[in-house]
This record gives sequence, C-alpha cells and structure tokens, in this order.
Amino acid sequence: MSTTTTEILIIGAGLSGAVTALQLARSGIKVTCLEQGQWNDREDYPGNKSDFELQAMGPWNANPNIRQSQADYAILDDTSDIKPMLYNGVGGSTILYSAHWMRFLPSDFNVLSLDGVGENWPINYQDLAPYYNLNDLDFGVSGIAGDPAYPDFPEYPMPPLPIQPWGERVAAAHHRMGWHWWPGSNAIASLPYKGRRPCVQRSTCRAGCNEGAKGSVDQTHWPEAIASGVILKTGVRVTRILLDLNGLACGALFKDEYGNTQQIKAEIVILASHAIGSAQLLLKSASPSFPDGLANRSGQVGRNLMMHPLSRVIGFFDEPMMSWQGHWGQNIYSLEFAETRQEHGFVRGAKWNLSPSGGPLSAALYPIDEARCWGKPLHQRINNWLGRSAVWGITAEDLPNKHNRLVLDPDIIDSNGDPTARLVYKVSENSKRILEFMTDKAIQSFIEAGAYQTSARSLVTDNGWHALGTCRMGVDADRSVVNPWLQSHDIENLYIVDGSVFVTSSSVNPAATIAALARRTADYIIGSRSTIKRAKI
Amino acid sequence: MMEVINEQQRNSFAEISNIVFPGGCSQPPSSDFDLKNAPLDRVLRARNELIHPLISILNQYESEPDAFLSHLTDTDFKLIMTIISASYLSVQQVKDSLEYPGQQAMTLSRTGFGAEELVFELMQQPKRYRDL
Repeated sequence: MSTTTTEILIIGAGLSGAVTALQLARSGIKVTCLEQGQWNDREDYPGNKSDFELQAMGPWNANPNIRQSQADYAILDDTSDIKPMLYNGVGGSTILYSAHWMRFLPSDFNVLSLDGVGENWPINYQDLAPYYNLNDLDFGVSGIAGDPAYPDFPEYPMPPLPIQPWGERVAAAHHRMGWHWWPGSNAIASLPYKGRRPCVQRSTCRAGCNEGAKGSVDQTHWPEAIASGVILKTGVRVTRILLDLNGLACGALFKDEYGNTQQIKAEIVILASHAIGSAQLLLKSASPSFPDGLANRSGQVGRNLMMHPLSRVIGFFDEPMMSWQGHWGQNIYSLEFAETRQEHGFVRGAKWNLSPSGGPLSAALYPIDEARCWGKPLHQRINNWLGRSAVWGITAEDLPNKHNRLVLDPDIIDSNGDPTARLVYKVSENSKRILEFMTDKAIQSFIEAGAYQTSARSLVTDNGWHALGTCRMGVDADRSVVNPWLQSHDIENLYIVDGSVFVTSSSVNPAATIAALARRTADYIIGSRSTIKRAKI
Repeated sequence: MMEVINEQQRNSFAEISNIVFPGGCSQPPSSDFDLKNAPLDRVLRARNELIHPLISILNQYESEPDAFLSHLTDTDFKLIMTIISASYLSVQQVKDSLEYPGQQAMTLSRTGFGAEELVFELMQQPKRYRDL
C-alpha cells in the first residue's frame, strides 16, 4: 500500500468539491481531490446525436441504478418513495443537472420560527448573500435581477435566456391572474462567457451539454483549480476516512483504478460526496471511538433525508411552438405558492419551473395518465405533445423527518465487501397535500395561458435529484452533525460541504446554496488557516 | 458473446409494432417500413443491454398482439414500448411526418428574452418575501 500526503483532502469532484477546491487553491493551499468517476469528453454526450433520448434513458440516465457505470455505487431504493438521481464523475451531478440557479428565500432559513415546523438554520440569507453573488460570476449565470420575491442583489453576469413562446403565454397568464412569475435564472451562458460558448437551445441539458454552455464544474471550476495546483485523482473510490490517535481525521483509504488499496494522509479532510455518498462514507468509517459511524455521536448521520417530491403538469396548446427546443433549464419560474398561507391546509409550499417538453420519444413514452397506450391513441398523444406542449415541474419543500434516512444494509454487500447504502424514505402527508394543491393550480395556470388540455402526475418518483439533509448543520452537537462552518462537531478537522448539511430543503433548487455554503466554508478555512485544527501527518 | 435476434423473433417484433403504430394523425403505419431490421438494429446498437430482455419478451409472444401487450408486466411493457417507439421514431419518414427535424443547434436571438414589458412592471411591485 502506497501513501501520499496533502494539506487538504477533498473527497468528491462534484459541485461542492469543485467550489471548495478552487477557492482554497486561489489562496495557495495544497489540495488533493479524490473522485471515483472520470472526466467526460463533451463530444461523448448524446445531446447532438439523433438517438439522444434513447441514450438519456440508458447509459446517460441520471438514476445510477439504471446507468450502472463503473463509477456508480449501488443505492438500494426499493424502500424509498423517490428514486435517487445523481452523477459520479468530474463535475458530479452538474454534468446532468438542469442548471436551475435559485437562491434560497430568506424565510427558508427560519421555518421553525416563522411556521412552527422543521428547524431554523443557524445562518441566514444575509450570511450567504455575498457567496451567492460571487458564485453567480464563477458559474456564469444568466437571468435578470429585481424579482420582488427576493431581497435586492446584483445583476447576473448575463441576460436571461429566451423564455420561449410557451413561457410568454404562461407569463402573460400569470400577469393577468396576479400570480408571481420571473424569467428563469440558469447557470447556462446566454452570451460567450469566460471561454464558454452560449447556449444553442438544443434542449438536451440533462444529457450533458455538448456546447459547454452549461455551468457544470468540469467547465467552470476544475480547469482553473488544476492550473492553480490542485491535484485531482480520478477513478479512485474512498472506502474509509482515517482517524489519528488524537481523534482527528488524518486521511483516507481508497481503491485505485486497479482495485488496490492506497492511503492518502491529510491535515484536513473535506467531504463533498453528495448527501448519499457522504453519509454512507461516514457510516462505513465506524471505528471503536465512533461505533455508530464517524462524526455520528449525535446519531444524526444519515437521518433527515429530504428529496424534494415533484409533480409535473403538462399543458397542450393548439399552435406548433417547437417545444422540443429551448434550454432545459427553467424558462420561467413561479414562487407564487412557495410560502405558508393559512388557507392552504399545509405548511411551506413549492417552486414551479416551466420547461420544454422533450423530443418524440418522450412524447411516446411519458406515462401521462399511467394508462397503457398504443395504436391510434399513441399517434394522437405524439401529435398533441411534440412541439405543442410545455411542462410545469413543481418541487415541494420537504421537511426533515428523522425516519427518512440513509442506512447501511448489512445483508447486501458491495464490491468492496461493505454494506450497501439503502434509502428509507416516505413522502410526507404535508408534501402530498402541497403537490395536490399545486397540481390544481398549475392546471389553472395552463388553462389561463390557453391550453386546450392538461395532464398531471402529482408525484414523479423518478426524480430524486435533490437528496439533502443527511449530515445536518446546527449549533447543538446533540442534534446536528456539523456546525455553521460545516465543521464536524465531533472531529474538528473534518468538514462536510455538500447538500447533506441542509437543515431544511426550501422548495427551490439547491445547487446555488450548496455552492454558496461550500465557498463560505473554504473562506473560513482560509481565514483561520494559522489557527485551524489539523492532524499531524 | 452478443445475443442475436432470430427471424421468428423479428417477425414477432414486426407484428407487435404494427399494432403499436398502425398509422394515424398524419403519421405513417410502421408496416410501411422494415422496422424489424435496420431500425431495430439501430436501437439495439445504441442500447445493446436491451437485447437479452427483448428476446425474453419476444419469446413469450404467440399471437394476438393486443392481448400480449395488455398482459405484459410493467417492466416488460415499458421495455418493448421503448424499443418499438425508438425504432419507429428513428425512421426519417416518420420524423418528416411529425415535422420534427431533430434537436437543432440555434443561434440565440439578441433581441431580448421575451415579455420584457411585463418584467419591468413586476420590478415596480413591492417586495413580497417573508423574513424574521
């Protein structure tokens, strides 16, 4: 077994790992990042090929249990109402994400105080605002500031992408009804930007962006991070975090590309492995001093899993609108029903995003009403759908529940001989009520916009993009895993910077907040570099 | 070794496809095309992991494609519909009938994002967010 050393070890080269690595490297800190996946060549993405939908349903599927690439690890999901979606590789899930770039709302940080549910975050919107602002520049966000749903913030670096003909119809409808809407903010370039080409509106964002217009961190962060000295090792899977005799994290064991176990020693360890991967690794790293999993004296590691239940409503219009084109980021969004209102019968709410409706294979296969369909009705469905429809995706704010969790299943052993991660997750009654209400309202939105027909699925199970909360942040070490600087309560030189630290989920997409939190923690480490706790290696 | 779909299985595939896409709404019937050969092979080249389960499904087929489709498990139904639909929709004449040119790279318009007047009106509205 060979051993290497580094000042800071980051585990995971996705969104949070990339943001952290780049920020640390800009300050001259020596960083090594271990990533189980590989680099992708943009030319390999299927979006510019005629069979892109077929590929996106298989080898480029966002569900790792379907994709089953070499970089993926098994996630048992038969005990979860929602299936996980993520990507393992340089760039992580930003390779396949839709790049909706949304800040949390101020109320999202204080749901307990405002609405009597969930937990308050130990930080607030103003704490993250400077980092949201800076990251908008690094990620190259297109949009327009001034949304009255938010406090004022600086203009985005690029103007919004076109909201599309269907977006104009729905925007006008919301205007007439007095409902909130706003042009979509997306980490997708609308102009040439820092070497990136602008979006070509091919609408294949979720199969990787062939143009490099989408702000995936393999494009936006890793090239500069590596040029600044970060060592990024790909194709290596971390199997254990190591502790020294003082109870500090001192590195990790990992399997190299040949399956051999190697060791890396580090003064500081940062976990950036997704809410599933990070919790899994901590639980697998149990030791005599942490028999229930590393950094888990609170018993909170793996708990409070939130997955953003989603419903989808489709509006069908008479006019051809080429709605297979456009960006599959959000065309417009609505926060009309994001906040608690007494008359609703549920707490918190949902964020809506309007998007194109995909190509012909989506039209043929999407189970609109779950009924089996072939023959003339199938021809009719394709005719109605292709180019003449738009989709409201509706994300419910998911509240923390200790029974929703990631556990290790001792009966199913992975290729490393370790127990496999299992998701135990039930959609709450509150979330179900949110989605039923929102579905009705979204139908109303489309009808006002001129749709002659709508169709809805009130719960889309294959859409667990936003796994959050499995190592939550807090000031009370008995009830949380990390402190407000994302530093483990139990192990002072161990940090967790991914979506696992979320206290509550908001209803908006989490990427911008994950990135802001990661950058804030990197700045904390940089600012306290001379005094921060380190392992001696 | 890669499995091969035999002639009987291909004929079953064609029979089922003809029920799935009989033609309608200006879309041609699948029987106009040799779906069981080049289009099917195109799909299976792209997704060769589907060959084995497809063969298993086709081996269950005897006759009566409507009844056959009705009685498939959800997983098998989804799989065979994916392959039939992808084969059919890969045919150029079908794309032409749908006026679908494929996902095109387009140059972004520089004339604005749309509905600007409404956005400027919204900007004048009072802030609506909640906070402590």
